[in-house]
Amino acid sequence: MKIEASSLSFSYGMGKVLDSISFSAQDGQAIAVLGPNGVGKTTFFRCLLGFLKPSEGSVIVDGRNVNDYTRRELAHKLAYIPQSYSPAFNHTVLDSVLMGTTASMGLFQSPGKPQIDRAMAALDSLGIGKLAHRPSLKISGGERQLMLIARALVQDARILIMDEPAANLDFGNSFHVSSRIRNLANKGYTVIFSTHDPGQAYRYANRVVCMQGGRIIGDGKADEVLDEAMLNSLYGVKTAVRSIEVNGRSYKVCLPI
Amino acid sequence: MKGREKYRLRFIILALSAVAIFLLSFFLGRYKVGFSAVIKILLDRLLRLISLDSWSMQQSWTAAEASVVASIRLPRIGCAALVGCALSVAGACYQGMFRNPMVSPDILGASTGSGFGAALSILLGFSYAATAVTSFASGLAAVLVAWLISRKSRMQTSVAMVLSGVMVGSLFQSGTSFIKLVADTESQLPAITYYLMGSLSSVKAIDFRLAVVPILIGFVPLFLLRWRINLLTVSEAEARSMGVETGRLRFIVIMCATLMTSASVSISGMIGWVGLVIPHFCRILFGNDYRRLIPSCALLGASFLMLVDDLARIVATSEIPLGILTSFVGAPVFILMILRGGSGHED
Repeated sequence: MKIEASSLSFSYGMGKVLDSISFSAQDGQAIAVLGPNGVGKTTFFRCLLGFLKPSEGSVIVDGRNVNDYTRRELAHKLAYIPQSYSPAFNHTVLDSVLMGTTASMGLFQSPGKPQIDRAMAALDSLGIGKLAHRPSLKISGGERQLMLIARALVQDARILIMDEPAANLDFGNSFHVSSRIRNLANKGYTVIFSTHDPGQAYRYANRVVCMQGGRIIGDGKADEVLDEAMLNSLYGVKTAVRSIEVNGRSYKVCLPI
Repeated sequence: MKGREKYRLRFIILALSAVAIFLLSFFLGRYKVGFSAVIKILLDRLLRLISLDSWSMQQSWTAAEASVVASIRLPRIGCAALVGCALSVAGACYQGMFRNPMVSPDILGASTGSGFGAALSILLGFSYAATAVTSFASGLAAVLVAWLISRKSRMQTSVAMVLSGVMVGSLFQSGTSFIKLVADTESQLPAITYYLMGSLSSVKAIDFRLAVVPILIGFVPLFLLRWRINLLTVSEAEARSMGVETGRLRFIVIMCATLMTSASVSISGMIGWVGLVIPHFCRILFGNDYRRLIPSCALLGASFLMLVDDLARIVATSEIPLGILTSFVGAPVFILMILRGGSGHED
């Protein structure tokens, strides 16, 4: 399923936040979106999700303008995973995941056995099936992020949009969640995520989009796009990028200097 | 599934207790009626109701007993159950839609708003139907104003909502006091005072019949949409991305909850705290899922108010207004919620 933005611009009153962005993503891509704070990443995502109507240009999802779908139709195409999950009430993990099935049910329908089976299968596939009956706010940040991924999976959308999925996670959880993200792309999902860590882009993304001043200034393979010059111009910090070899595989790391 | 069976058992106990409290309430009061007489009179009424008066029981009770049970206690107990159910369900729904466990019809100003509308209509000499509409519109206005102020506020939203609700409530309260001041002391003032008294001591069968319709109109959509109300408790962006038209759903929830509140105010006046306390206990007993929360709030709310009304009847020689009794329970629970952070996060 294809998602495509063509000459997308957006402004909140004065000053463009997004300035004629053109971008398109296909199945199987894990796309890391990088750029300093306030560069328009969130606005870009909100336009992709159809929450904001672009002032110029359009977003086309599966051949149709994103603003022409009903929310229910769009839920079968696009899923959104927020940076942090803060519900007003402490639902169980299972109930939180079941919320993802809402778009596939009638208006007055409640989840029954088929939905529960799907939710459990999604939780098991992410290795957190045993947490199903725990309160969702009493599990670790990494587990909660996996729960939100499970919720997106039962939603049956093929394009997943994630706002800094690993931002609040510790070292280990950040690894677990990020490698899940890459697995999903390998299974054919399109995953678009923002990150502040170039290391994650090298490690888990097969494509990197660099944003600055509301424009895309780099788009391509992480190894090619995300070099020392790009990091320097994105963040204004001199950076050294090196490859290190571990067990015959090469990994890129970057260091601010 | 372990959790589900636990909740099912609790729900059955709750339903049985509600029936038991309903029946028990007929025996409490100054005039004593025997057990068999109460059961027979109620069965007789039920038979007449379902068969449109073609069946009835053989009469073995006195006319006085029939009058006490069927004409005085039945409407009163029915109204207590109805109001308790309506305020609790409305409270639970307001909490979900405002993402805030510390709001309720009275804290949001919906009750005082409805009361003001009713007082104004009596002052202007409106008909019963016009009074009902004005009361609903005024309750709705109070909730919307409280909501808008809290959205504009820079404070933490749950605190801002409670504070703006209190402010709006007190504004409408003053409006009501002003209306009482200018009302005609011979006819209007007693009518207004009586309307807003916060008591069920003088309800009649007609009150029950007039309130049950709007309360059902409010209840049925909320009951049918109960799964979706869960999605209003996560962030707006998440709910929309999961396929919920949140604006439309919020609109339906706020209309239904306010309709139930204003219909309750019309028969019982302002009874505080029920809409806060009952959802709070139901969350502890049944979890935060609205699939269970709505039916359990309906039953627990009805049971609670029937019990409180029983107390109001029997504790002192003169009737104690219900609002006084409910705040004896409500205020401590609210204080407890403040001390525990008001998060509603205890599973």
